[in-house]
Amino acid sequence: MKTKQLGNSDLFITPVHFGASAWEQSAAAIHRALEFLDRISQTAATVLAIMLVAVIACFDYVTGDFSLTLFYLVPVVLATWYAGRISGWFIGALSAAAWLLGDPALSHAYGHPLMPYWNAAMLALVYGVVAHLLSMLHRLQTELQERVEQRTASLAEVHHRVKNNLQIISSLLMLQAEKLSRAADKAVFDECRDRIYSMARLHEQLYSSGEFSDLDFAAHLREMAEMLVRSHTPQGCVLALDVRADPVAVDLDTAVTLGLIANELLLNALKHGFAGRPAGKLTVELYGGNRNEMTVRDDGCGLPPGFDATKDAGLGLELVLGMTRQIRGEAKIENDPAGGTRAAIFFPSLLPSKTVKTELQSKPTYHD
Amino acid sequence: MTNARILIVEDEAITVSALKRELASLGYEVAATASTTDEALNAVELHKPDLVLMDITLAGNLNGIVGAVAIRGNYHVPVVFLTAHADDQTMERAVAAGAFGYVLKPFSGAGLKAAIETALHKHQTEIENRRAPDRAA
Repeated sequence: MKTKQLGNSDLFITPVHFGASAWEQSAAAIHRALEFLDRISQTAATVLAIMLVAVIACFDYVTGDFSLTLFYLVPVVLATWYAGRISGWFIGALSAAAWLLGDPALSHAYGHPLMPYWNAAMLALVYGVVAHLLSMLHRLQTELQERVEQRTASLAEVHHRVKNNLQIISSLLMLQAEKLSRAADKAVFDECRDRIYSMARLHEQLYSSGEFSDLDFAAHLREMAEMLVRSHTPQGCVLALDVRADPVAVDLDTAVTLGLIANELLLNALKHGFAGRPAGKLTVELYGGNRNEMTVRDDGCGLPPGFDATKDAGLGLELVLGMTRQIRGEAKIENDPAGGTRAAIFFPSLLPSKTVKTELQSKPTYHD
Repeated sequence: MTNARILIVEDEAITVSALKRELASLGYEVAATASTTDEALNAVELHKPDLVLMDITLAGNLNGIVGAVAIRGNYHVPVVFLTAHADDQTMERAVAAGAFGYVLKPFSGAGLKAAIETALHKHQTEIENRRAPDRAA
């Protein structure tokens, strides 16, 4: 690296590496130039285009027989895109005139004295058509951009409305629960509020990420587990939470269903796993792959002897089994050999896309 | 800081009712409720709450962020936003408005309490820091 003194500042001359860095530098320079053009006024863009026409005309004159016809398209495009159609037409006509002045054949004999003027007129027409088509493209692009901005604003409003409505439903459940006297009845309403809370956080994650096709379920699972342990740890029990979650991308439908499954499994472990115990550990795992696996494991009292999930399931477990089938998954709920209960949900990475069924279509072949 | 007096600024009546009960169950006193920014400013003047829990999208011409700037500037009362907006732009505006906390809807009791306690503690620290130079002088 060479350095050279230039007044009070140092100028570092870095060698240009050809290959990726040279491309990157060129791309960065083009990006900066486009940003500059975006900032300047329409008049400035037109003046810049006129200057470009003058430069190209000089080259045209000097190079003689070498045709630079195409190069005049650069100021035409610049003027049209950044200053509008009229400016594009004007620069097109100016370019044709400059081409005519720079044409060395002008001084020679043409087959017909009007031929160079005819050629220039044809060039002006071509440049004019290019300017016209480009201005239409620019208008379409502007309209498309406006529509995208409108859609984004609408989506933000819908998202806000969804969250507000979930808040109202949650509030109504809370107010209704006040009228109940039995703690067990109140707990049912609290569980419903937890489910709503879980769905709302998913919406939030989806909207914040800006990625509407799929989202990372690990972040949601971690947040939900921490929230439920904070609010539902049994009194007198010191609970340790261990979350080991790989990034697993799932679509929104799967994420909502999987979130509700995780909610049920975590609540089940918190409600029944540690009853009467002074301490315990809750482990939540999520592993990706061809077949993903989500596991909720506690070191609590375990399942009752002879427990059969398909026959002895309460509402929570029934929902877990049903929702697992819904995401084409498989549930395995059993006593952990190390003690406590282990609930594992295996689910595929990609679900078949949903289709709108009509009467003419054949009946679905899946089981639910 | 339990028994803190809180002003609720929210235009959804059902959410206001739920908030009143949730705050009471957490040990706070609801000083008053308001549904617009103008009402909120009057209520702060009248009831002198310890903290304002404020929605961002409100009925009326002025949103909660404008209200928060006015409350912070004129009355030095900490404001915690309670909102369904979770985007970065709104968060940045809330921080610029001098928000002491941010609770996302739907709220949980634990989240609400954590945000309120953090805001009250931060406000108290600010007051003490302001007094410290006076004492030193």
